[in-house]
Amino acid sequence: MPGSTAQPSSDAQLYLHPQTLARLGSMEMRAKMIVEGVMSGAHRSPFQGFSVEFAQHRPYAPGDDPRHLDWKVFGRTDRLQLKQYQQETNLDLVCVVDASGSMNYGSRTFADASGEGLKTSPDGRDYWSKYDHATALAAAVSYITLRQGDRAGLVVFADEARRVVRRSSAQGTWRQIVSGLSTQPVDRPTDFSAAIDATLSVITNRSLIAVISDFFEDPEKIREGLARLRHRRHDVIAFQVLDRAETEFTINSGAPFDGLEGEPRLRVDPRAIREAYLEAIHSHIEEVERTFRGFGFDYHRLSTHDWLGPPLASYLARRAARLKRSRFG
Amino acid sequence: MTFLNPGLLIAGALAAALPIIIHILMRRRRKPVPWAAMRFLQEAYRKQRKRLKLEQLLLLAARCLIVLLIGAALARPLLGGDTPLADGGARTVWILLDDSLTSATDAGDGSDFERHTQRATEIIEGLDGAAGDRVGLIVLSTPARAIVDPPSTDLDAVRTIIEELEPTDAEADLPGGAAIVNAAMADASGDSAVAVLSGFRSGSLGEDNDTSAMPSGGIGVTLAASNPVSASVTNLAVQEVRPLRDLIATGATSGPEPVLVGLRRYGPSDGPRRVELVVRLGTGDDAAEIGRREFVWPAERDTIEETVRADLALGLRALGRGGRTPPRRVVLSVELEAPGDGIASDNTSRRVLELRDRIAAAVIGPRRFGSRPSIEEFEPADWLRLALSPDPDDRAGIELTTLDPNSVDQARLAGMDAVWVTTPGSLTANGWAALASVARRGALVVICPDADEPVQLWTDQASAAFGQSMPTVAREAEDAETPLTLRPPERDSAGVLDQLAGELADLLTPVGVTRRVAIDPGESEPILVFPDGAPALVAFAPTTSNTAQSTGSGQSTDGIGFVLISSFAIDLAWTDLPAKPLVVPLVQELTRQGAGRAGASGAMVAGTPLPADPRSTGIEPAGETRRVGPDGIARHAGVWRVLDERGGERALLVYNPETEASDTSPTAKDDAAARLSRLFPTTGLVRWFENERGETQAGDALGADLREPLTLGLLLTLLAFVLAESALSRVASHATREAAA
Repeated sequence: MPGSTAQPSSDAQLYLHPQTLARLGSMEMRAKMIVEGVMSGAHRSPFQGFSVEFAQHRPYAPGDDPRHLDWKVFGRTDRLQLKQYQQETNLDLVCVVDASGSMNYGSRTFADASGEGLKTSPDGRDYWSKYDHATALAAAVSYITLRQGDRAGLVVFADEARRVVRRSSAQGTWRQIVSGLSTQPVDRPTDFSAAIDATLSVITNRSLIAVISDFFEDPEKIREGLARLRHRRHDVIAFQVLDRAETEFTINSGAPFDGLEGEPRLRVDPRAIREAYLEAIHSHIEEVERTFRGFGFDYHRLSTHDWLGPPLASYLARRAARLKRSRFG
Repeated sequence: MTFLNPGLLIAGALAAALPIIIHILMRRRRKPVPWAAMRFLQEAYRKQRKRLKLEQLLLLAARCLIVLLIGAALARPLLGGDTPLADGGARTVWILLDDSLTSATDAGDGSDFERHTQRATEIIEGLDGAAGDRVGLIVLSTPARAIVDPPSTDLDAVRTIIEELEPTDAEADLPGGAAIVNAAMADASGDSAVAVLSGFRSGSLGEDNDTSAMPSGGIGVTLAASNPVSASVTNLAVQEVRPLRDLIATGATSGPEPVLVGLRRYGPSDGPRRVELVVRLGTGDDAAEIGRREFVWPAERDTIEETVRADLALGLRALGRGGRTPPRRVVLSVELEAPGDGIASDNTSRRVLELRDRIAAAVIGPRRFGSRPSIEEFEPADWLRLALSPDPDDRAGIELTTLDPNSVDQARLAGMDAVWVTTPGSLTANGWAALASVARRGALVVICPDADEPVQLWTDQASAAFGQSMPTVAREAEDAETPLTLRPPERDSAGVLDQLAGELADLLTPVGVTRRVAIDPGESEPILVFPDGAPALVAFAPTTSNTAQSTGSGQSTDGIGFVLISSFAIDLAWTDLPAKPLVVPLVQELTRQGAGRAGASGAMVAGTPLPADPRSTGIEPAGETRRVGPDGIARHAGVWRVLDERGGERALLVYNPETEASDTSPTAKDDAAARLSRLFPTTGLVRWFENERGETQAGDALGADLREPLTLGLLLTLLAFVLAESALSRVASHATREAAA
């Protein structure tokens, strides 16, 4: 059951189920937005230079490098125009994973979710928490990223950045990411804004940031954090991980509720407030989704009761198709 | 509001905390559920908090109230309001206890009265004086009287009173008891109960002519009654004792005399039965047995008359033994010895006999001096003297005195047993006063019209002297065209000529009356009548002077004294009676029996008032077994001594059991219920203390009904709360919404 503050297992294989990998193997992690890569790769670069692919002309301004002048245009139109190019760059993926106390909740049995035949986690838990699901998700997307030669990194946050794994394209990075996730205590309160600030402080170039969280946070703070990410031209994918019990609220017990982030105990008949609760949480979920999409970011909701592979594969396929349409269309 | 079981109310109040305690314990026992989305729970809770708290509060209150109401219902609450119970009382139970002669019926397993008192004690023990329960006690022996009224909360005292009660010899006065209760509850509209404890035998129910029930008040009164007895009990009773004479001239007594005894059997006959009659003479322990007769009561006869030969001389010698002065009056008692009889106290009946050496008689008329007149010169006084003392040598008979009308006063009349007045028109006012006085002291007064006066002017003075009980006598005499014969009346209730009954008709035949004064008898008793029914000789008892003064009615008599008024003078100008053989036995019998009747005044029946004012005449019990209630009514059989103003014995009174109450026949349950319903018209159906199976259900019949209205209300309220709690808990559990969801 939730509530344990024991550290997750460091067994990286645990969070990358073979079936998930099989599903994701053919997918590539493509940045929706143009990111600034340090390597020439499959991703579009925002930098219009002189290299690979012509992008557009613009009027010459004093101080511009005259080497980029398009003399053919000047010869035909007698106007000084600079040639701008679109450069394909390498992808930097940073997984920003929420390790706050609320992520340590789960109503699915560990034996059902792990797929390894284990009844309990290495630290003795018999339930599959949202953090377990987030860890598996981060491991999956990192694995894909690293496998296509891009760089992957990790920021684990709660009330602040708790753990950072620098971006690297080395194959061992994946194990560092999983290890960084599984050894992190999951019991702190959430401060999404502070976590974004900490993330931005370690990312200097434009990157694809996968935020994995339940987003049980004030939407205004989420909005503030996203605004800063948007300002820094980062691409963001939001993975909202929720438990089915949270979204359906089928608890009938008259037992009191204890908060996982230090909230005061609440004695209430769940049946009495079920309607109001469902209205509140679904309203919040919709608000979160609206917020992300409002900034032009991807948003994807995952349930801990579902297998990770199919929905993630489906999402990545849709995303790849959309990027291809925007490139050639 | 009061509670019959306040302890249960306290327990209920304490138990009302149970839902709270259970709620607290359940809170502690449940293991908390860790929850991530607390912010949404709190947000939902904040929105629903007021409604949830209200629901919880109402639910908790309903559950506490349910427990409290259960306790309150078990505590048997009694409402106050505008009922008598609001005066600080709780239940008011009126116990009507049958202590009549009938209640003494004993079938061998204890008397009915013992069962009644036991039931009364049980009822009282079921009450709570501390809670304000009250008991009123009414005993039903005639006339019914309230022993405890207003109802008292001192239940122990009432119980003690009940324990000291005994059956009386009077009949039951159920209508009177009902009237007392109905009057007491006339202004009441609340919850009370009436418990009628009687065997409802025929002797207790009496005649069904109830008019005393009051229709007002008593709304909501519960009427409970002990079950009518079903077993019939054989009861033999002495109904009448008739000696040969009530006035005994002791000097002339010799040999046994017959005493006629009337007997009656009530209930079933168990075949021929051997019983014995014992006759005694004497007032108390010194009574001497003077006669005994054993006989077999035939199975087929309910009423028989037996004659016992009683040796009065033997009894009189016993009374005079040891040099004692023989009394002037003595009690003749007859006891029926019948072992196993249903009621023992109605087996004895008494009668007072006046004892005299010689009967002192006076004739008021002109005195004669010198030689005896010839027959033609005889005046009424001469005829009477001759009739009263036909043989001058008979010294054991009547001692005769002649008094001149002008010289009549109390001193001269003192000690007279009989006074004949032949010239009433010559009496002075003092003379009439002296006559009335001697009559009230127990003497016979016979008034004949003035033979020589054409107009009788004395009637007004006589009425003034003897009171309004005196019949009206016409002033003018009337002559008959043909002599009027005399005959005894169809019903001779006075019975003064009983000894002549066999020969009276023959003796009256030759007698004719040619002149008479008309008499309106009023309530007086005719002794002889004319063929046209007009009274020729009437008897009445003088009105008690002090009673007449105190009541102003002048209608009450004390039964002492005996006055005869003749419509004709004992004179040949009025009648040929003086020349006929009847005159001597008639005058002698009137004198002897009238004097006896005047003094002994006959027998009274238990339950009737003492026939004189005890304050002025000084009535005292003469034996050990006499009792009188505070209302001056003797309800027990016995002997009473009537004293005059100077403390001398004026008369003896005997009270005999009321033979109407000797009927031990059972009454059908429906008949008893109908009778009770008529007596208590506002109480609804009667509830019996025992059910059809003979099981006692006193609580259901009485106590339960008292609390029924409020308890029922509480139970209905409880039901409403249970339904409300059920609905509320369903709402609070949100089961419907959950199912819908």
